[in-house]
Amino acid sequence: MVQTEAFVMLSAVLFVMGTLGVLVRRNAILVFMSVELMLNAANLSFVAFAKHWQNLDGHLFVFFVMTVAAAEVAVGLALIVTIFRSKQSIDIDELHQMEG
Amino acid sequence: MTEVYLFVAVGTIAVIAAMMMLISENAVHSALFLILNFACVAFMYLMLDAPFLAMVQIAVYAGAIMVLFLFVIMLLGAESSESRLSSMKAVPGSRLHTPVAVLLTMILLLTVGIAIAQENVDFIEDDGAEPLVRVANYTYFAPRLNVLLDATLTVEGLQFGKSSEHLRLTAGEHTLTLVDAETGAIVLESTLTLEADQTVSALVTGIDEATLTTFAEDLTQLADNQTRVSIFNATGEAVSLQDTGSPFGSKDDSRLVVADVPANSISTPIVVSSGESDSLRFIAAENGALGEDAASLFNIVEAEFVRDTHHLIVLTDQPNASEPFAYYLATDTAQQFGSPKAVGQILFTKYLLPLQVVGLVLLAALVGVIVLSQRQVSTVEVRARRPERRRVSRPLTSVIANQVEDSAGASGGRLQAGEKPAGD
Repeated sequence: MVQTEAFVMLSAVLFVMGTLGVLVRRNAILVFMSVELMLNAANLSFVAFAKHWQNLDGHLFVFFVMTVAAAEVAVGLALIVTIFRSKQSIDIDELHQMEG
Repeated sequence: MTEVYLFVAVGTIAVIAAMMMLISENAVHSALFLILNFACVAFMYLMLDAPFLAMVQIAVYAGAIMVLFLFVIMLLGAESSESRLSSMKAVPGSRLHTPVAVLLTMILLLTVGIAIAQENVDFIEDDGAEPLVRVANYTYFAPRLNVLLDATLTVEGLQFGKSSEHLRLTAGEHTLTLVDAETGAIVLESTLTLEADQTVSALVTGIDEATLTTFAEDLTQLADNQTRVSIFNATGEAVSLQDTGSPFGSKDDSRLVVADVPANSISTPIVVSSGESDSLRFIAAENGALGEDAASLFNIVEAEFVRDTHHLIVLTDQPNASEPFAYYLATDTAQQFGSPKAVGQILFTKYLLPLQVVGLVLLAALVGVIVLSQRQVSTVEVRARRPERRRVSRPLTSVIANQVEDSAGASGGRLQAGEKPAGD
């Protein structure tokens, strides 16, 4: 029997790796994939806690996160394609016209 | 222990895959490593009793979302936007591809071969689920029983009035031995014959001598507002069960006889509405007939039939009393935690509104994507059309302009010519 703590720790490691990816990588698609990794890490801890408390609500939250992630990916990738068409680049360091 | 090893192995693969996703220069490789990571997370879901989410994870994440990512990467040609060197490196590295592919194929064939050799794969038919057995103790002389199945101790110290968990056994014959936990004397030894897909209850009853009764039960779930009640009569005489309606209803306002149970047998399951409390009464019945002098044997006052529960009422003789006593045995029949059915049930009851909202969000995303792509197409079209128009229309416009000037001049002349008489 694997302890819930082990799953939460794995989830934390994956989440930190996702954060690193968002901060370090410059390719917009890779940044986006890192965000997906973070969402997945959060989902993993949701499921781990759902098992721990024997409460199905955690599963439902994961279901909704997955659904919204699918929508987010569709819109995000469409944006990336649009940006690529106008800028000929998806390097996020070059996208600074918003002065961010 | 196997579970811990699996967790460590799959967890390591997940972390390594995430790391490789971060450091690989080729975006396609990154996406493939992310798919591996998602598959590992799906495995974790399986370990956490969430089979439905594991399948959704594979289908939605590793399937749909990652295919979308790969598609966009290929579309934009953004495989190695950060470094052009990776494409150069890929050429010497490609020598490794063939042996790795061959090795993976060999492993796959080996796995399939082992599975077939061990007869784990049955191509012809499904043998059905393994039967489940529970043992319940109603022996007055042995309040604690040790249950041995095929000479191995399975349940230790089964208390009076309690039932063991459902034990999963293989179909076929098994020897059941019951030993008094205190004295160590063998109480009963019997053979159980089990068939696939059965859920069997083995009840041990008796005041000074143990009797074993086994019967198959239907533990499938009923509709929301219904629950099943079975009555086992362990007394020596036939009884009937009467629904008295009110808690202290007299014998005269006998309402309904819900079940006739002969001695030492189980009644057919009665379906009652759950959530309501009901009062039942056991009455002595001779040959199933309900006489005027049918004695009330046992009253069940305000019995509550909870949903998702299978109720078994066991009527047994008591050692120092003439009247029998009824014991309850409630079994939880709710769906397995995390199963698609359980998730679906809570999704369409408690989370119906969020589900609708998510549907709206998806619709908005769909419209947004269409709008984004539409704008792009229109700007591209406008850009593409303008120079063409100019090229074609420049000579045309000059021709038209000439014509217009001519006609304007002519009409103007005509008008002027026409106005003059009007003005006069």
